[in-house]
Amino acid sequence: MAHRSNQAVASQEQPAPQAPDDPPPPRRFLIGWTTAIMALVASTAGVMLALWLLRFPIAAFFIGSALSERGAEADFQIADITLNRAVLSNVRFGSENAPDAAIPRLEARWAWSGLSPRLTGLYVTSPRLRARMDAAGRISAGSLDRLGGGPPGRRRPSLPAIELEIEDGQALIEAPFGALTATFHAAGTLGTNFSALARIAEASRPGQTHALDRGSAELVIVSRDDTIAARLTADVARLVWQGAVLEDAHVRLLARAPLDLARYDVEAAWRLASIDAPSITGNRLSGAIGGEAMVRENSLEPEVWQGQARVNAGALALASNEITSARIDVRIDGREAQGNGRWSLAGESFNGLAMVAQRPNAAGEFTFDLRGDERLNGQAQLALTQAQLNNEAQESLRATFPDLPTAPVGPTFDRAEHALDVAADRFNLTLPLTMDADESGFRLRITEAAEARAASGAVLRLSPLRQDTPALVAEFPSTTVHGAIALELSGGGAPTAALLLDTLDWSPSAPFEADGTLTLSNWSADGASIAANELNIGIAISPQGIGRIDLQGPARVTGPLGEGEVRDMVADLDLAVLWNPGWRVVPNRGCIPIRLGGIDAAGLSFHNGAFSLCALDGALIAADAQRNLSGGFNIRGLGLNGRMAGEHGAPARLSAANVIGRFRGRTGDVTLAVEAQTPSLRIDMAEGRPLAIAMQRATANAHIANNTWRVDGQFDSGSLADPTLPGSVSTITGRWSAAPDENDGPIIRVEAGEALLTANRPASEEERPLFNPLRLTNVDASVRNGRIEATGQILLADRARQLAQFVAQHMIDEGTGDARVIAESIVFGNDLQPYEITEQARGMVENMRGPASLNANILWTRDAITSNGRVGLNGVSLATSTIPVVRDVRGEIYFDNLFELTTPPGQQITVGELNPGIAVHNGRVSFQLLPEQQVSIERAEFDFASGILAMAPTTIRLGAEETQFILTLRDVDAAELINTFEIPDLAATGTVEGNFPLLLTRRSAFIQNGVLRASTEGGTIAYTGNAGGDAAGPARIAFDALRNFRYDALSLTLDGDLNGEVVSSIEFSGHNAGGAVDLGQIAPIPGVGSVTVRGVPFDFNVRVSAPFRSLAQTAATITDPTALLNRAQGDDSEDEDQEGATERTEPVDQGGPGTR
Amino acid sequence: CIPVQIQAPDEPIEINLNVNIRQEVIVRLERDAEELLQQNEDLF
Amino acid sequence: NDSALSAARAAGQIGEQADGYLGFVPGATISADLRGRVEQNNIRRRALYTQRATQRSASVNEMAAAVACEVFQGRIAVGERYRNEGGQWRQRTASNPVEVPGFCTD
Repeated sequence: MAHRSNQAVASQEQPAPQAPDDPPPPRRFLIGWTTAIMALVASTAGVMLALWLLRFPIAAFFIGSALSERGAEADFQIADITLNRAVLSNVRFGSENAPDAAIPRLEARWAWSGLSPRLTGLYVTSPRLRARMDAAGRISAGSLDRLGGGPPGRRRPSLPAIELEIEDGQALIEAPFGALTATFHAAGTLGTNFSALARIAEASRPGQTHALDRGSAELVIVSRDDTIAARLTADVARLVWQGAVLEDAHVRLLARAPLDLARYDVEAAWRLASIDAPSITGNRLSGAIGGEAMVRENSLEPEVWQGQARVNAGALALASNEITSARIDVRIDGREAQGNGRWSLAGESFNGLAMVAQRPNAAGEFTFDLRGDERLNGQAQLALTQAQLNNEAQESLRATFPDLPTAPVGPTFDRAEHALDVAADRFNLTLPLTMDADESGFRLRITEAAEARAASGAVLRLSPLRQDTPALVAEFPSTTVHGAIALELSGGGAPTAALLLDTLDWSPSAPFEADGTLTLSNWSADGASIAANELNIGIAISPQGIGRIDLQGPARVTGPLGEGEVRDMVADLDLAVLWNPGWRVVPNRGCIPIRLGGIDAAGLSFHNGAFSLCALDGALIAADAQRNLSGGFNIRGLGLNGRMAGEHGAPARLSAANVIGRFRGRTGDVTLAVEAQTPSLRIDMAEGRPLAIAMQRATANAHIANNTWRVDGQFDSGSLADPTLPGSVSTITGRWSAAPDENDGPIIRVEAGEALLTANRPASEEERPLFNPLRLTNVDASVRNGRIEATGQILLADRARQLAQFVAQHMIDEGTGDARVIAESIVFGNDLQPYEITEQARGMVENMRGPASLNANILWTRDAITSNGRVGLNGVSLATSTIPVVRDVRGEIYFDNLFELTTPPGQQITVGELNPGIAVHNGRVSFQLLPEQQVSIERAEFDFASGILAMAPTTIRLGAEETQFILTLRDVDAAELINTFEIPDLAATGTVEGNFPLLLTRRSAFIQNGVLRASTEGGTIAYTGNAGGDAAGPARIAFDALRNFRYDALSLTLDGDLNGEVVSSIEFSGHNAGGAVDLGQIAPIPGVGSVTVRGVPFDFNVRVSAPFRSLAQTAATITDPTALLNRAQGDDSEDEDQEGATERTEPVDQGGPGTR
Repeated sequence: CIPVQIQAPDEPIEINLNVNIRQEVIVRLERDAEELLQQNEDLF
Repeated sequence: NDSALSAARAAGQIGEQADGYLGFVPGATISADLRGRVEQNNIRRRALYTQRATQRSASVNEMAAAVACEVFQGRIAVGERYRNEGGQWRQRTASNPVEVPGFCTD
């Protein structure tokens, strides 16, 4: 049957029926009226028949039964009855006092065709009807509703073509907002020229739940050409109906049917300015409804029917989902109680379900079966194009990815957030739904994949987890949701994620619960990545929004760590993330075992490591409602093996007994206080050369705020051991900090560092430590781009006496570096002695006085440490084991190896005075220090008695028990010599030279047969003292000779200890240059008298064995020159005399200790 | 009287002398010794 | 004075000598540290003797001997060992007093 789409109403004010899913009240309204009319007409036919037979009672009986047959009991009196006319009075349907219909006078006329009467006209005067409109809008005319039903199976009732006249009709409609009265009248013959008019004048009925404001209605019925048509128009300014407020509503309804009621069609149009109801609000609404039905043969029920409806709305909101310029179309085809339909919805824009979209559209079909349990089922396809998440949803999406730039998950979270952010700006959403309803409730199902496809290429698919069950089932009115879904995200730069939830349940009062697995793959961002394979996930969110997610299974993370990197960190997760109030991350078993594939940090690169990360005071990290952070972690038994950075980095191992980290501050301004207990770093610098650094405690407070970071901390009682170092470094303490420099590389700084440098323990009792404990203080260091630079001071630990400053640098990659140790002035004296610097100087160098300077360079590579330096002596005096007095040593010594204390040749120093037993001055020494404390003296010359005392080149060993020198004297002035030895009463001229071996021991300075000779031109010697005053005999001669003795040859032999007994013999020969010498006493030649001899050659052989210094006193006490006598008597046997003279000479026993 | 010409003997007159240290030096140093002991308690 | 030296003195490892210096008792085991301390003491003594001897125009050994006399006459405790003028090592005990060198004047 062709659908007639005749637009009954002008197009611009296009009234539209209300939403498709509940049957439009005006159609019900229409059915009510037509049955009422039909019921009225049919009853009058019965009246005529009865009248004719038995007149009144039978008529009454027949009319009564006819009426009851048509389901309406009526009371009436028959006023008159004739062959073809009957007049009833006081016809009353319904109860006595509140009749549904009261008709004072009803006249029926009929004509006879053969024996069967045919009703020809009906004349009703001032009928009074009463109808009620219930809260649901259904109109019932009480008992009249049952009219026209009639038993099924007989022929379908139809409208007789009779003349119908109604005068002064009034109907009282009791509506929830109050009663309305309608007046109506009609005239004419049905099917040819009948017309009727009913009108409700404009009326207002104020009320709370129901109110009417300026409502009016008009019903016009016209019947021609065997059809009957009715037009209803109703206008309301404002209608309040159970919480729904309609304003400025207009309805126009047209209905047509042939008299035999074989089919009918209806068209209606309505317009509404605005509607505000609990679940629907809208404005500028309009709609049209059209429908036709073929009626069944034997009853008024439709056999085949179809209808379509359209609604337009300027803005329509269904449960706070707003559609602008919405257009809804519904089309239904039915056969008896079953039918199917299609609907579509389109709009200009959609704002709801946390989305904003353009041109939303939805379409669907449905079938229904009104018989039995009224089953309805259908499916629909929703589509939103150019949709985007609204700002609030985008904000919460961004908030789910915390901004942690320096953490391993930083870049990956950032990439995911960016990808989802872009995707959320523009996507198309398609959502296929199926619906079914029965008397138990209404169910919405998602059985096929719903998809959100973003312009950026990201796709989010929600599909059933298992083929046989729907993804989601939402049941109403119990409003529960359950299902098993597979939520897959991929593309557009977003991570590929598959969240398979095999149980999902929600209902308003119960918490939302879901369990399943989560798989994450190709989630990477410039090197960083996160992956997880079938992580068990459990989600539970209470109605009040208190939520918890449990994650269980291994996750693999690679990503940056500050400036370094973490590779393949596998955390065996078993943790819960709880939120509201605030949020907390809590490991369910207290600790999370973590394995590291590799970690690069601060110049170190480790390739494997394992530790367990345990929560501290309950949560790894937590934030309260005011976003204050708390919680922390505790890493027990940290152990990382790896190598230093750089391609040939040395193998290294980092470990710590316990690392505790505590989070403080607020999100966005995070402080992480880390304390490592007994951290230690061991680097195998070279074969068999492990560098071990261990601390008792090291702290680090990392402060991360608006994408910059700073770390500062302390370390204390640390130690550093390196077998190539001459000592070990201990009690290391100090403050350190790290922060990004201008181009974002980290600088690590150490301030106020302190350490104790202790020499290695000597191998045996026979050795002493290389140096006493030194303290490094005010050590400031910085580590940047693999380069360590440090400065500081070196003090003697004992009494913190300042010794030197140092400036050092070290290249971590190559393991090479150098240090300069500078001491402008180390002043030795009572406050500082060499043995206080090194025990090895004790018993070697004592009584040191005066300033020295040091400028040392220490260089080290991976394999060895070398050193060189300059030592300045600026007027230093000292005592050594073999030379008790050394004064005013000046000069700069260059050491080519400071550890071995060796120098290149040609080191020059000057010595103010040297006194191994005899003082020599103004020495100029050039020497070379050789290994094992050997000294090669290249040249040494001292001023001695205005001449030169020179030391022949020799090599001596410092600290040896004895040291052998060969000394030569040149140009020594005799007078100076005498003066040097403070010999009183003696004067001499001439110069003396010669050499003598000197053996220096710890106690003495032995001269072994040293021989000094006067130079060839000789000189004079004169004793000016008066010691020989009473001398006689040979002594007298000797003294007289010595008054002024001119010698041409003088030799002095010395033997003995300069510090004690020196046996020295002086032999000089020459003439008696002074006064005459009276030989009388020597050679008493009779009669000669005193014989004075001038210029007599004397050989003086003087042997003196006395302390060198007291040599002078001996000159004053020459006694008993008997030997002289022999000489004078010309005893020829030279040699024999020699012996003889010496033997007979009586030693002058002074009783000095030296005589033994 | 008669000038006597004595030929200076060609052989030099040889004077041999042995001299030894004297006793009182020790005595003289006794006071110094006591002084050194008192001034350098740490050494003795 | 130096506690290590006085301990070694008491232990009979070292003792005063007639020449004014400290000596090692033959047979005693002498650590490098003790050896260093004795040498240090003797260097300082020799420097004192040298300076004072120069002031007195006496010889160093004389000065040393003079000090030895003072030490032998009062600074050798019972039980300590010493080396007499003849070079023999003796031990002062309650029964045998210190053999003061002949050159000392009492």
